[in-house]
Amino acid sequence: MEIVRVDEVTWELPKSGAMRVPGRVFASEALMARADSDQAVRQVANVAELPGIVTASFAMPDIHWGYGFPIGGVAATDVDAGGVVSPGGVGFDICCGVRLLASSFSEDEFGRHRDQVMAELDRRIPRGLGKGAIADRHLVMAALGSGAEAMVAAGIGRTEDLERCEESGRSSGANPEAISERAVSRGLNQLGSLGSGNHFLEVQVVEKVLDHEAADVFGLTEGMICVMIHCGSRGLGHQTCTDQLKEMGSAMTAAGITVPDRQLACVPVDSDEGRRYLEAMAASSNFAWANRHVLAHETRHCFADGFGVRVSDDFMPLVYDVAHNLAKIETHLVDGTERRLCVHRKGATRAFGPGHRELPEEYRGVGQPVLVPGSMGTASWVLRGTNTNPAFASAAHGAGRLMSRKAAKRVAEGREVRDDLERRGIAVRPGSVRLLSEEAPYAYKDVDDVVAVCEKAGLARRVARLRPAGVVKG
Amino acid sequence: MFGLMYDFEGTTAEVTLQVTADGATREELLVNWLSELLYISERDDLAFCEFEMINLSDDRLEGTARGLPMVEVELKGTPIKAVTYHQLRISHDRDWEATVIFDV
Repeated sequence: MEIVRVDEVTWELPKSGAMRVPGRVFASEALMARADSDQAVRQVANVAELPGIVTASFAMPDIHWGYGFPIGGVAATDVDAGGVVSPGGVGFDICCGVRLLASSFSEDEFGRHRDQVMAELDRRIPRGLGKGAIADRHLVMAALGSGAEAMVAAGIGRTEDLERCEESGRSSGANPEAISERAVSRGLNQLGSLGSGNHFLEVQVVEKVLDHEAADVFGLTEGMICVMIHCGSRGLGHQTCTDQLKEMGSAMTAAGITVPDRQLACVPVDSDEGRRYLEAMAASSNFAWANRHVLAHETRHCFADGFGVRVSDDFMPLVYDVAHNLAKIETHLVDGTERRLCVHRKGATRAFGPGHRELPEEYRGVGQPVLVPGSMGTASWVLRGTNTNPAFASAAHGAGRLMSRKAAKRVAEGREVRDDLERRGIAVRPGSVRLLSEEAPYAYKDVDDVVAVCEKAGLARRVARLRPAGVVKG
Repeated sequence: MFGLMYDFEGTTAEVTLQVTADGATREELLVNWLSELLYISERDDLAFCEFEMINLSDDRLEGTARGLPMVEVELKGTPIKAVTYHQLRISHDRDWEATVIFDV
C-alpha cells in the first residue's frame, strides 16, 4: 500500500481501489513504522471505504490495530448524504473515557497520608470481577436514561460535576428501551466499578505545567495531587455492541452495503437501524458517565477518610470528563460548507477549540481539556483543543499498546512489575497481581511521543504533564 | 475462552446449564455461542469448564455448559468482555479448528 509523507508528522494513504477518501495518519516516523507493521494502516484504508465518509479516514498518533477500525481512528460520514454509523467505529466499550479530579493536596501531604488513602481506595473501589457500588435496578435504569444527572438526583456527587463533563454527563437521544435485557443484567452488577484490563484509577502529581494560562483556567498547579479515572460502560456497553453488530448484519445486506471487514458493519445514520444503534449507544454512554461519576464520588470519600477531613462542596473538583469511544452528530465545515456529520472517534478524544459553545463557560477562552492517560506507571497528559485541528476536532487518547499481553507476561511477572513500581515510589493496589505484567509500562508506547505529535500536528496543545503516585487496577 | 481467563486445576464443575445459539453462518453461530456463554457467565457469576454439544445444525447449536462460581476459581488472564469477528477463521482438516479474537 502506498504511503506518502506529507510533513514531519502527517502521512497520506492516497485513494485507491474502493477507498472513497484518502487516509491520513498523524504520527512520528517511529510510530508510523509500528502502525504499518501491525496492519493498523491497512485498517485506516479499509475505513476509507465506508459510505458517506468525508475528507479522510484519520488516525491519531497512538494508532494501533483494532477490530475493523484501528484504535485511534476518526471517521466522519455525511448524515444527509447517506453516511453510515458503524458500531466498530465506537468500540465495544461504548463511551470509555477519562475523568480528572483536582485537589488542594500537595504531593508531600499525600505522602504523609498515602497508606491510609490507598487503603481506602483499595477497599472501596470495585474492580476486576468485583461488583459495582450500585446494584439497584431502578437506579441503573435511571442511569441509562439520564446518565450522571440521575446520580446527582440520587444524592451522589455534585451538580457542578455535570457542567464539566462532556455532554453534561447525559447523552441526548438515549433510549433505555434500546438496551437489551442481556445488557441490563450485565450492567446491574457493574455500575460504580472500574473493570479490568487497561482501566485504572490513578493518583497523580502535576509534575510540569507547560501552558500556564490553560492550567490556571483548568485549576491545575505544579505539585498538586490529582486523580485520573479511566473506565467505560463495562459489560453493559460490550453486550450492547455485540447485540447491535448482530442486528446490523442483516440490515446491511438489505441496504446493499458491503464492507471489507465484518467488524466495519454499518447502516445509514438516517435509517431505523441507524437510529436504534445511536439510541442504544447514547444509553450506554449514559451508563459510562454515571459510572465515572459514582467512582469519582467514592474517590472523594476515600481521600476525605484517608486525610481525616470532610467532603466539602468544593472538595476535589472535577477538571473534566471526556470520552474516547463514541460517535457524535456534529456540524463541521467540509469544503467550505457546513455539514451534519456522524463523527466516529474510536480510541480518539474529542478536542474542541476555544470558543466552542459546548464547553463550560469558564473553559471557552482556552479550549476543551483533552485527557491522555499513559500506561500504568508512566506519565499522563492534559492538553487543550485548538481551532486549527485538522481531524474534526479529535486528538489521541492514550499511549497505545506496543506488545501483546502474552508477550508482556513473558518479559516479567506481575509481582516484579509491582515491586518495580513501588521502588519508584508508586503505590500499587491491583485486583490481581498476576495480571499486572499485562499492563506494565514496557507494554505501551511512549505517551510523551504521542502528545508531542498531537501538538506538532495541531490536534491539541500540551498543558501539563502528570506522573503517577498511586495506582488502583482491576 | 474460559481457559484463557481461569485456572481450573483442582476444581470440579458444580452446575449445569442448557445453552442455545443461532447463526446464519458457521462463523456467526460460533460467535453467538461464545457470546451467549460469556453473557451467562457474567449474569450468574459462573466460570464454565466443560461443554457438550447436544444438537448441531447449520444454523443452531444446543448444548450444555458446566461450571462453578467465579469466586472459587483463580483468575489467570484478563477477563474477556466480548467475542469479535476480527480475523475469525474456522477450518476443518482432520479436526475442526477455529481462531477467535476476544476483546479484553
